[in-house]
Amino acid sequence: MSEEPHHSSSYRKRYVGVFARLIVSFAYFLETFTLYQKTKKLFYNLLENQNYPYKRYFDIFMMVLIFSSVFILIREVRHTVNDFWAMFNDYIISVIFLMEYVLRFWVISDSSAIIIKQYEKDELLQREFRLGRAVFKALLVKWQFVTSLPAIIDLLAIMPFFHELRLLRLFILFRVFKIFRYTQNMQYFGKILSHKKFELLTLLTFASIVVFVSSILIYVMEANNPNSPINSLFDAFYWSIVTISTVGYGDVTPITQEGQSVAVLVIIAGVAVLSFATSIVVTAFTERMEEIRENKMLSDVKKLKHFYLICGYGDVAKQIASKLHRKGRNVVVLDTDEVRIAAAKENQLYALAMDPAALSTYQSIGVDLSQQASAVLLLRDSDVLNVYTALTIRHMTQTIKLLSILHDKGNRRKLQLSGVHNIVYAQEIVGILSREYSGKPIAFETMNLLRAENSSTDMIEIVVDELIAKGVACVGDLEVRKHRLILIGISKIDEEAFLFNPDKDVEVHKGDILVVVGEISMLNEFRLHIHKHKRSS
Amino acid sequence: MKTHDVKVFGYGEFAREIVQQVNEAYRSVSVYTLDEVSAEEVRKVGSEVHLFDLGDNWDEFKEICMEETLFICALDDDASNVFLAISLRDQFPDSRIIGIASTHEHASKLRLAGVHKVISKLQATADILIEVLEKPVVTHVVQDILDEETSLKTMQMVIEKESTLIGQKLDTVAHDAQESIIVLAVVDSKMDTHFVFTARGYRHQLEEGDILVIIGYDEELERFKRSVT
Repeated sequence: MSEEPHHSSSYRKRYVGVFARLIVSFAYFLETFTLYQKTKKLFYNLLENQNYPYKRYFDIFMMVLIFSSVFILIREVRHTVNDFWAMFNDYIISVIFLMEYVLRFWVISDSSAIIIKQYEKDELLQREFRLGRAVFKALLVKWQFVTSLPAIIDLLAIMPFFHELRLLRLFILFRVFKIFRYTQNMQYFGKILSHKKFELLTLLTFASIVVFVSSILIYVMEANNPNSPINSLFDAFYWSIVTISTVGYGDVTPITQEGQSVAVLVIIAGVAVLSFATSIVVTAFTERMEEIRENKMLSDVKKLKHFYLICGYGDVAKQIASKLHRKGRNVVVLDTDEVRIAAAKENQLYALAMDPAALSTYQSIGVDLSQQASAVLLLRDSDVLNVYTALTIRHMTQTIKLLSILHDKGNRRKLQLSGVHNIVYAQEIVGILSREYSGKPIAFETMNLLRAENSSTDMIEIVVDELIAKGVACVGDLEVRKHRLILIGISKIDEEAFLFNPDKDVEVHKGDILVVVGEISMLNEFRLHIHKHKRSS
Repeated sequence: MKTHDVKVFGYGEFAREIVQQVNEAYRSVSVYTLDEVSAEEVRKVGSEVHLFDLGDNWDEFKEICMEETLFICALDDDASNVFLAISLRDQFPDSRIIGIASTHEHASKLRLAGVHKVISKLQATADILIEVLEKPVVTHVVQDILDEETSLKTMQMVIEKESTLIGQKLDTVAHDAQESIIVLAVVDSKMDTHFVFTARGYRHQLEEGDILVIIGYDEELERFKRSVT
């Protein structure tokens, strides 16, 4: 008889052990199931990852649904909405929102990882696996999601699905609050105010006490007077709210002298509450404005597909950045000097007060230089800084084009060793230009004019793409002279050489680069022509 | 007239490069420094050096042929450089002056002081870097042209009285010469510094005094020059 409870407890233990093992195995299975993980990652990116490029489209889609839903609600007030739109609003939109809610619930945490972590911890400490604790931890994270304000709004926005309950239709308005989820600016707004939670809560408590006390006082003073419009506690409460908010409709007013004295106090309190509320909000924004701008800048830089990165914002950098900006190129400036960064921002550049030589800078910006940056220009104040920055960039990517200015002629080799492709020594350039101008001023000015920014004549590069290669077999087919242009030469991709003044019979291949001189309008026409040109038999 | 004599004022880091670049190209290159320390440095590299101040004593320049001389104002101090430029312009109205500017403001003051050509350090560096980024092949070509060691060069050729080119249309000349050289532009003798690129001014009839700007290899340029004179 005494063995029965012992048996049943050991059976229970065994069953629990088997069940726990099954749960752990399943958790491991999910963690290693690639398709499951990929799908979860995809939905996570779509719903939660602000840096995911396609999230924007998802957000726009959801906002369109929200606005169409609200539009249908307004339309329904005075007009009949046809069955399709009613069904679209009641079922389709609600089902999409329900799916979104469920998906968010799914991706918000990794329950299998939590279970595995607990299991491995227990194994390490050589104790029995505590399944209950693991499940509790996993559910706690889900519960935190369910009770969060955005999730509650999401849930309320699904309510109109139960359209038979007329009151629940008003929950459509909660869909408007969902917009907070899809617009980053709104999220910033929420975050800024959340930093002043304590002040706002204090003010709210003060206002509530004033409303509470004044409602009771006005009720006591006025309710027994037959001429007073304040006959119930609700009237008193309504009057308090209207007065403290400084709205003062005037439909309910105290008529006794005592009541009017209370009104004076509430009006003063109302003005104070409103002023404090305004000042709290304004202060919150002022304090966080720089942070908001910085965050916006970071988010914009992350989204850039192509940009030139300029490290250091000295005099040369200013010139280069403004010229590139005028050409419509994206320029990102990094400098440790706040004053210089402020100047770059004034010139409408993407500028961040960060150290270009620190790896952490690029990690916090979240850019992939090898994919997003077309080239990096090292324009810092010394060769030491430029070499150090070059090595930081090279640590991240070997392929990106690096250009640098050289301050001291003796450091050229060091910059070359740190992987810089093009080194520009200002003194040398000035020397060469002086020599050229002194010897051949006319030729010098001609070349200068060809390279000048606002000249009507230009020397351009045209990359032979597939379309051009299809229509053009050799230099003669380009018909350069017919377009009143001059072909200076071709950079041949297969020979890795530049052919100056090539013969008519020289073949043109895809990838070759033509260097052509002429009037800009003629050059544009020429570009179009060679793209449309049909190869003659 | 061709430049034979270059006078470089100053011996800072930019002036040193200028002296190095022009030293081999001209018959006479002299450096004028404001202090004995810099003068000593110039002597060490074997160039001709003179001490000068910013006063009005330019007697030693009175005898030189201004048409053959080029002044390069490359003093480190912006104000002194502008003052030097205006002094040279005042004393020698026909002289050719190049000014090296450190900033935009300095460049515009040098222009106001009467400098023919202002080379801005910032502008030149920025332009080269942008060209490397945006037009790497063009940069390569231009560097080849500017590099003294390669044979691809630009040439400016004044059409003399006896030239066979007189009366010919620019287009014809450019077309005939196409196989060996490229006629890039012409400066109309009647319009002074007005450039007419071959592509636009193809109907321009060449006259005595016009200047052709040509690109080509050394030998081809010489051959073309011989064939038309």
